[in-house]
Amino acid sequence: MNNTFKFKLVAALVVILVGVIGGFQLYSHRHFDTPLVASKGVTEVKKLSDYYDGLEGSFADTRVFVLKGEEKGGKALVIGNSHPSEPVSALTSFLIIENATVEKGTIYVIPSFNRSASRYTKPGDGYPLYYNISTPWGKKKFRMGNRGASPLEQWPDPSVYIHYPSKQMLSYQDARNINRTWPGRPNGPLMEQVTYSAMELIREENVDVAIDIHGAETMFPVTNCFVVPSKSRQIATLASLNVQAQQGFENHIEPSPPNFHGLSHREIADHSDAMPFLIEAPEPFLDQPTGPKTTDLLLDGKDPFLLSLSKQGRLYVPYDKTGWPMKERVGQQSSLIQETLRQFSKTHPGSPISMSGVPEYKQIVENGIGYYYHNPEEASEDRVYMQ
Amino acid sequence: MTVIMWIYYVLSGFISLLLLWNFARTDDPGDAFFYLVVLLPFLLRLARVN
Repeated sequence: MNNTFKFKLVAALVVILVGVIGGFQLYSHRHFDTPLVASKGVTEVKKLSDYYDGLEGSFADTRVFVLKGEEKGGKALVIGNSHPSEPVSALTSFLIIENATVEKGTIYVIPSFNRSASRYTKPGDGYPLYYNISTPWGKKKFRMGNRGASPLEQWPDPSVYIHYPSKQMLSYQDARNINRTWPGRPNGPLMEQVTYSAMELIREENVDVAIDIHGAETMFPVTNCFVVPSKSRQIATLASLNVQAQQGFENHIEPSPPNFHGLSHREIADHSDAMPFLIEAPEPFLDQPTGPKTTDLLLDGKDPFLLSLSKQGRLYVPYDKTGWPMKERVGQQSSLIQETLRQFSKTHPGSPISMSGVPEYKQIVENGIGYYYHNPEEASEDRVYMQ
Repeated sequence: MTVIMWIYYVLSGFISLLLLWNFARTDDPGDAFFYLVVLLPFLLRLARVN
C-alpha cells in the first residue's frame, strides 16, 4: 500500500464522516417537532389539504387551528411562519393558539404556513438550527427555519420565476418564497399550491380579515409597520395609532404596491373579499452587517455593528444597546393582531371578532414570552400537537 | 418526477462517476482531496435523504 493510496483512503473516510455528521444534523432538524399545547379555545384542528386535496400527503400540508366563538361574528385568518427565518412569526402564532379564547366570530391560525421552509435552514449563512425560549417549567425548543421552501420539496428552481397570474418576472428563488406565490394555482409548483389552498380557505370560510406575521431587517424601511392595500388602510391606521398611544411602541403604515405581485397583502386583497394586513417587526438577526448569527443575536437583537449604524442614522427603527429583544417583537405583533381585530369589530359591528386570553405588548415585555407557553407534560394528551 | 428532474439526476450521476474515476486515477494527493470535496454535493444530491 503506497502513501498516495493511504492518503486517498484517509481523505475519503474524512469526507464521508463530514457528510454523515452534517447530514445527520440536518436530518434531525428536519424531523424535530416542537410541542404546541392548544388552548381550550381551539375547537377544531383542520389541515390545509381540507381546502385543496392536492396537498394531501405532501410535506407542505399543514395544520389549521380553528378557534370558534359561542356567538356568531366575523372571521379572521392569522398566518404564521410564511418566512420561518423570522421566528417572531411562529412564536406569536404559538402564543395565540396556546392562550386564546374566542367569544365572537372565528379565528383560524396557521402556525407553520411554509412547513417545508420551517424544516430547512441556511447552513451557508451560519444560521443556528434551534433556539430556546425560557419558560417557568424549562426551555421550549424551536427549529430555526429558512425564508424559502426546501429544494427537497420543490426543485429545480426556474431561471426566472414567472408569477401567476400577473406574469411578472421575479427572482428565481422566489418560486420557493411563499410570500411571492400568492394567490397560487392548483397545478402550479408546490408553494403556489399552498397559497392556493389558503385562498380556498379564505373564499370558502368567507374570511373577513387575514393577518400575515413577519419580521424584517432594521436597515429595511418596511419594518415596524403594517403593509396594507387601500381597502385595509383605515383599520390599519386606527390600530397603529392605538397601539402607539396605549402600548407605547412605534408603528407606521406602508402601502401595498399595486404592481408588485405575489405578496399576501396584494393578492388576498385582489383575489378575495378579505382585508389583508401584513405586520412587520424588526429582526436584527436578518440584517447583513452583523456579527455572528448566534442564538443570542436571534433572541436579544444586540449587535455592536447595528449599534454603530444606528448612531450614524442608518437604521429605520430606534436602536440602542438594549438591542431588540424577542419579547418586544412578539409583544408588538400580539398587540397589533388584537388591535386590528378590535378595530375591525368597531367598524363592522355586524361581524364582530372578539378574542381574550392573549397577552398584550406590555404584559409580554414584563413577563417574557415563555411565561405564556404551557407545559406539554402537564397538558392533556389530546391538546398537544407536535408542530 | 418531471423530465428535467430525470436529466438532473442523470447529470449528477455522470459527474459523480467522472469525479470518482479521476479520484481513483490521480497520484497527486491534493487533486484527490479536491475531487472528493467537489464530489460530496453531487452524492448528497443523488441521495436526497429526507
